[in-house]
Amino acid sequence: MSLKRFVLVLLSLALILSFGAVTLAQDTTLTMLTHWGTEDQLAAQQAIIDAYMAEHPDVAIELVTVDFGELRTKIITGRTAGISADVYHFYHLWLPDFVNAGVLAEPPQDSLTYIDDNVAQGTIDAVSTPDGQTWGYPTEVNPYLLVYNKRLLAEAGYDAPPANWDELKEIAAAITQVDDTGAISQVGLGVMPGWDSGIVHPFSALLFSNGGNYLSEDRTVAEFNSAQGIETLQLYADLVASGGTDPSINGLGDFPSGTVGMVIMAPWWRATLRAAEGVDFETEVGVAEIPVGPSGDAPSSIAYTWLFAVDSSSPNKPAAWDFIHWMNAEHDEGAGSAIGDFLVNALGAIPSFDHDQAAFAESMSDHYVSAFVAASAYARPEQIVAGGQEIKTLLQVEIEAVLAGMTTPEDALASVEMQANAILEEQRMMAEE
Amino acid sequence: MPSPAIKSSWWMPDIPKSAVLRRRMLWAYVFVAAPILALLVFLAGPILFSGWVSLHRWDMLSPVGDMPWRGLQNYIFLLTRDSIFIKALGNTFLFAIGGVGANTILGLGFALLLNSRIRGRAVWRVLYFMPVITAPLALAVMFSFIFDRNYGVVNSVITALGLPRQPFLSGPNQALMTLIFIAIYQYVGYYIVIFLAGLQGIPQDYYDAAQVDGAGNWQEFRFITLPLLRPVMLFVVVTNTIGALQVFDLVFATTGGAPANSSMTVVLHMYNTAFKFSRMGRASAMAFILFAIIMLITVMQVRLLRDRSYQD
Amino acid sequence: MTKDGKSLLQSAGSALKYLVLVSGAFVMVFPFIWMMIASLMTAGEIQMRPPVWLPASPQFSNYSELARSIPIGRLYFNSLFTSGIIVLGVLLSSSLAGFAFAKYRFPGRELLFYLILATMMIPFFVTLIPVFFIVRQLGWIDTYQGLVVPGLTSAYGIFLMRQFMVTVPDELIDAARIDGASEPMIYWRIVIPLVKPALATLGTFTFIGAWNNFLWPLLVLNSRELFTLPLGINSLRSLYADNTNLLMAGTAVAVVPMLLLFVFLQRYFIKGIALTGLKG
Repeated sequence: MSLKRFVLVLLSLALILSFGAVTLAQDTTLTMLTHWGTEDQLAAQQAIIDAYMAEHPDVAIELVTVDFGELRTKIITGRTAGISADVYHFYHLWLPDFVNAGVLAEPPQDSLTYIDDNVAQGTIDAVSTPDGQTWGYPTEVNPYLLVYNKRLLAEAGYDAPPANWDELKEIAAAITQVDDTGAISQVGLGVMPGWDSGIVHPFSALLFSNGGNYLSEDRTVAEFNSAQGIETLQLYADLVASGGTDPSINGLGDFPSGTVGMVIMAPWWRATLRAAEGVDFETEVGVAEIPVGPSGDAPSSIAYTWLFAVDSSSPNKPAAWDFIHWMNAEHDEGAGSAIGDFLVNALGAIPSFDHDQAAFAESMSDHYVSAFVAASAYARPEQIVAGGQEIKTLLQVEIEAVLAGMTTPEDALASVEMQANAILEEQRMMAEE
Repeated sequence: MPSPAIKSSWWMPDIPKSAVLRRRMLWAYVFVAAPILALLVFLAGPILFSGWVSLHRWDMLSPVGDMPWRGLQNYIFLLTRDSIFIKALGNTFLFAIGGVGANTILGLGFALLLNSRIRGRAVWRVLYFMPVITAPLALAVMFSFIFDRNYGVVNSVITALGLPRQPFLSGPNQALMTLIFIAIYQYVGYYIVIFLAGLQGIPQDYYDAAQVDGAGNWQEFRFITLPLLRPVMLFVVVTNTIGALQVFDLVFATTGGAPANSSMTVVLHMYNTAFKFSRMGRASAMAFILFAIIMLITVMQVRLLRDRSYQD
Repeated sequence: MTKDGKSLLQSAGSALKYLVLVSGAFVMVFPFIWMMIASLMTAGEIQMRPPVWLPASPQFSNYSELARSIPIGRLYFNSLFTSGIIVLGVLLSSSLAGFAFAKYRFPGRELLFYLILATMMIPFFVTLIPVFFIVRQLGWIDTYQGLVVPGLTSAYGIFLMRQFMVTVPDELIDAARIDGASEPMIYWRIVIPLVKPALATLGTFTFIGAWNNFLWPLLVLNSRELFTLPLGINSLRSLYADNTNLLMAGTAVAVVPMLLLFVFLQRYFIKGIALTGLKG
């Protein structure tokens, strides 16, 4: 092929393609942005949308999904671009940032009343700003518990999961195996580096079970740099030193293959564990409460939430709230809501609304999810605050540095506390400006 | 490279006297109008805007007019208190030094091999060039799997040889090294081709003359090849450095900067600061600091590598 | 040293050469081969220890499953279409401006050219956020225009074209003028044919860049209908986080056709790339 012909081919190709290009008409009234993007999840959401549209022929709903990693960026950039979705489903930690920037519309009074009447107070707090304003319909509630491999514990000589940190350290070290190449082929406690929630949520669950706090009650000061906090990070350092954990082994990816003894994880992991080849979900996966630390007196945990909310610039706010309400409300006594069904049966997550918890109790009665349902009664909601994502990321990095032996628990927490308080202070001043 | 066509100084416009020449001049303006306009809108304007934003705090959600003024605070914060930025800067330098060094040496080495009497030069070139045209994102996905601690083929080979399993991308001491390796893998073919073209541009007469004088292979390389390759070397080092200092896709899709920021790079931190923490002002300031560093390094490299005796 | 000894040394040296070349080539090609092999494994075979080197029976169904979950044709169309437009735009704008800078004298030429030289050095991230902002003002977020238009001109392209066009002899242009050729005709009939290799170079460069671009489409595009291949691969990363075999199949589908195209057109690719090193 001569150069001339090459360029010609390229030219005509581009020409043909440009004629074939179609501009996409956007004639829908409501756009919903979620991060539930797998094939099954898309089909399940579309079924809900179709059912709503069948009942409301005057409303068209378009579903847009992005990966979790890009969700926050998409909400912000879409908003900047003036093409925001009408209905968002997002992680509640971002709520204060969005509220401060005026992204969200206040729910109508009857929605607020409905949420008040049908959701536990702790979960309502999780989707409310410190001033008490609730901003949307909470969806999944995800507490963290100790998920363990019964077979690996038994092989190490233990028939019960650890109840306190000494037992945790002992069992973790006993499970860890170093193979003849000098490498770790099996690890006691799996951590999840590289994922902010995967690091910070288990840390918080342990911190709370050691009597510590994340932020102060009024969410104005960071409180994790306490004796309890240092003990918690010291636990990590001890586990690394004894070989009980190894940051190069990822609990999230490796527990399902049967090479990790314990991981602190959330209920929605069920689908992965059921499909796992290295560990049998029914007989080998156990769930236990978070082991209690030396300064704590009872197991505690952290729970995070997601919510449906409406964009403040949406021209169709009443329709958007009506759609959200329809998805979350119970239409037939005892049948549960469409979203409840989706959360429980497609995701394995725990729904927020009382009617869903009742209607789908059966689906949550397996040995795995039932333990999380019990924990959701006492788990402390993740405290949300403007700049919360940044604080969480800073903490994640310092915890990973402790796991990697690059810093000490004292230095790590002191450094994050300083930065976190600077962020909180800055946010306060911004609010006053 | 000096540009012979630019003789008059830029502040002294020379308007032609004759009507024909003036007509011609008008055509020149027609030719440059659209490209220059586009460059102003999408390049020059944004640079100024970015500089303005870097002096403010802006979450990208509030109106541009309402940005609170912060003066040089963003710059001061970055250079004195943002530990991640300092870390990322160090990592990025290491990434650039490792990548540029290896690519220059390997690129020249393989180019010399391919320039010698060898069969199937075109085939070798194609094989080495394959990663260059592959999307960095695709390479990131491939290598995440290849270097996986548990199922990665590299660890399979290593352990089969009786050596200990390595964490590679998940190891705090190995993540950056592994990324450097992937970057070398990706671009070495490109530099081989550039060096090869440079080598083939050196007239054979020089070598013939050297052989008459009884020069050996090393002397030929040292006194003919290397000096005449200087401009190519300059191009390779400068473009490679500029690219390496801005690495994003590869890190984004492999480690995301983990573990503990041991593989965090400046542009990835910039992306996180802008879109994860909604701090456009600080991210813009970061962009300008990186720009200043790139300028400085480029000028240094040009000074160092430019051979004054080389005839343009 | 005897003659035999010398030729022995020479053949040993040449054997060493080939050994180095072969091992280098193996390193370069192996990841692609391994990607293809893994894309034909079952999920179980991928996780086997000790590892499985070849699938017991190739799972071509991985590819049909992939085709069901992502619109491969659409991704290809979007990538080809947008990259094609960008290439055409860059070639046209760079050659026009390069021609003016190389062959005309006009007030402001030096100022503008230095401006171009200066902007060439700017890291793309400096302009990323403002360009996003401008594209938003134009209402082009989540459109082909938004993806394509900011890439239609290139400071580097103008610089490169100018460097090549300076070498076109003035006598040719003057002769054409005497024959009554208009300035656009000189551009199209005289200069363009002479700088074809440079155009091929710039086109190749631009095409690879546009085809592989990730960050800009990630920000500008929201609708899956408009996604380009790198965005498609990116969604696969989370979609198939637990199915490495499908992830590899998806990556192979995105990468292999481009590699084949390259093998067929490698002469132009490589000739072009080599030129930039000498002219840049």
